[in-house]
Amino acid sequence: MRDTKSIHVALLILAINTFTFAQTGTEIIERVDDNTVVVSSGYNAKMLVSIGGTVREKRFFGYTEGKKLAYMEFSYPARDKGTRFLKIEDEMWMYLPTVERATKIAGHMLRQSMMGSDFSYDDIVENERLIKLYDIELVGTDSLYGKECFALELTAKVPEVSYYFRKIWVDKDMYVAVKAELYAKSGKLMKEIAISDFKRIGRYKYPTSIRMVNKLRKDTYTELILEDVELDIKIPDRIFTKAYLERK
Amino acid sequence: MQLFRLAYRNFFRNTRRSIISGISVALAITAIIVMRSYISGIFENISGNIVRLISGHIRITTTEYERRERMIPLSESLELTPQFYEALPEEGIALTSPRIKFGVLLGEEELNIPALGYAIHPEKERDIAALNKRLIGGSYINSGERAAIIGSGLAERLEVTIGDTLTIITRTAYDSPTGMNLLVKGIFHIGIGGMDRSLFYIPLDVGQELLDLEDRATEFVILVNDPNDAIDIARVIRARFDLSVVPFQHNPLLRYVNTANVVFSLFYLVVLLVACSTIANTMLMIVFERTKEIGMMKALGLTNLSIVGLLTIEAGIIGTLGSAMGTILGGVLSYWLKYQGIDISMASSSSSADMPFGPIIYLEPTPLIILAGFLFGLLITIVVALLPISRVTKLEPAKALKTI
Repeated sequence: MRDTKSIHVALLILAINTFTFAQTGTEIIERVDDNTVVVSSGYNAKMLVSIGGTVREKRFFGYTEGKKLAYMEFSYPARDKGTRFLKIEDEMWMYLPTVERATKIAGHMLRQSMMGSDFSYDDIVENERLIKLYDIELVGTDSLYGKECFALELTAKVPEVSYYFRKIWVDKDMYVAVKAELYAKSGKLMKEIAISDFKRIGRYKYPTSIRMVNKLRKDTYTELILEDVELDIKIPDRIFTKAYLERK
Repeated sequence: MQLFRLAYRNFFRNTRRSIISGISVALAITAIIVMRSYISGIFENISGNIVRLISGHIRITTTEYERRERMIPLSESLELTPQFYEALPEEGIALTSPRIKFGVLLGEEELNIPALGYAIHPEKERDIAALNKRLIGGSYINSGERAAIIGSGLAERLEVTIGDTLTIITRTAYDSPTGMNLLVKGIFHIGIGGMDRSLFYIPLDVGQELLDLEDRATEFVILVNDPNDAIDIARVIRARFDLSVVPFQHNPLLRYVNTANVVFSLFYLVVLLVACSTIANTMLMIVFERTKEIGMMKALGLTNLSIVGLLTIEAGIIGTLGSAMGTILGGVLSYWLKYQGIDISMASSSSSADMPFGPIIYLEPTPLIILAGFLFGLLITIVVALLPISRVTKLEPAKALKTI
């Protein structure tokens, strides 16, 4: 009887392992997308920007809806208070309280640093399923931060992506990306992301502590900590309007 | 003495030929003096513009700023502490002024017009950049005013005029977006297209606030009492700070202009060759026309040395008179253009800000240029005359007498 039980356990382990290895890279990333690409979100965020060892704290709140709408407003420090950003489709607008009108941010500027951080505007508002943008290849497994991870390589299949090539390490248990390296088409490493904390919110395992290192800058990193995250909520339409952006 | 008298008489034997030879020497020397003064004027113009508008006689920046200057890295700024000012040498410095250079994108709806801003100390810069003297409308800026003076070309591109609001949006030293509405208080015209189309100036304190650079500047310019001392003073400052301290003579642009002088020298060479060939041709005519006469002189017992001497003196008279004429003409023309100037605004209006020359080039003749022109004309006339002269002295007197 004991032997029969052992055989069942062994078969179960084998089945799980077989299932694990049978997964393709696309299936893994699809599950990652399921955890991170949301219908809508609202959050408060703290950004710790370290430049040359000096850390500056910035605070903002924001809303996103799908991949086309995003709104952010900075509340701290005093110098940045009232600086707002609005993304509608592929256009981004910025409102500076000192100027009192919205200005459109040109396309190429979306890939520049946002508020002096290692994140670009595009990085912050990214909310699109990776499987739609990249060809995905599972290249092996790896142990990272004490976790067993899938190692995947993603190559852009559409031109409109910020990074042509990505290496992503996905936690085998949670199906969340814990590390990513972002490369330019030339093969140059541009950014490194490490995700150290996730929160289970509804059906999502949502990243809430992200460390980004822009490899093109010297001696910098940015920690982004998301707080009070609400997912798949109803956001009033007026928030994603220029009138709201330019409100006094 | 006899030879001088003979040579003098010969000079007037064919007056027209002598005058033509003299004129060709004169024209060559005039061209050389004017051209040399013009090149000197261009050099002075560029170095003047560099000193006033770009670097002063000495420019101090951080070494990292200098290395990455094309990126305009505001984060690599200088801290203007009292210790910094105290450490500057007391001797030889006339004026100092901190500046912040920053890049902006301008535009009404979308930011798509790149421009370059300078935050300057308005009062100190009256004696350095002197933009108050280049205003074509409106008035100059004062410290503390949220106002700007902008280049005439930039005003045209932005379709703004005096009294309008100029919205500038840029990034702070910490890379955060920042912006400000400024009153367009004046419009300046430097005459250098690249600068007029892209530059605007705001007060230093306003710039420091805008760019989050309190008590800091990206560059610090110094005017010295004697520009020739700039290199030595820069050396003294460099020994006291771990900073980039560059005298204007070491400005890469001026070095480039110096290199360009070599190209201009080739141009001289062409003028010179034309002058030489005219002189050589004249001397050949003089010598061959008078072969019979030379044969007679030799038959009468005149030595080769005396004949060479006679003809050399003749060449010398033509050279002296021609060079003197050329020197006077070249000198007068150069000094007239030194004060009158040559308006090259048509050319400089399209020139880049990286090559700041124009809009008026004032020639820079010097006694050395004029003296060198004269001596050069005299010397070259004699040297090119010696070739046909040496040939004629080799002739047998009998053969020479038979020459038709």
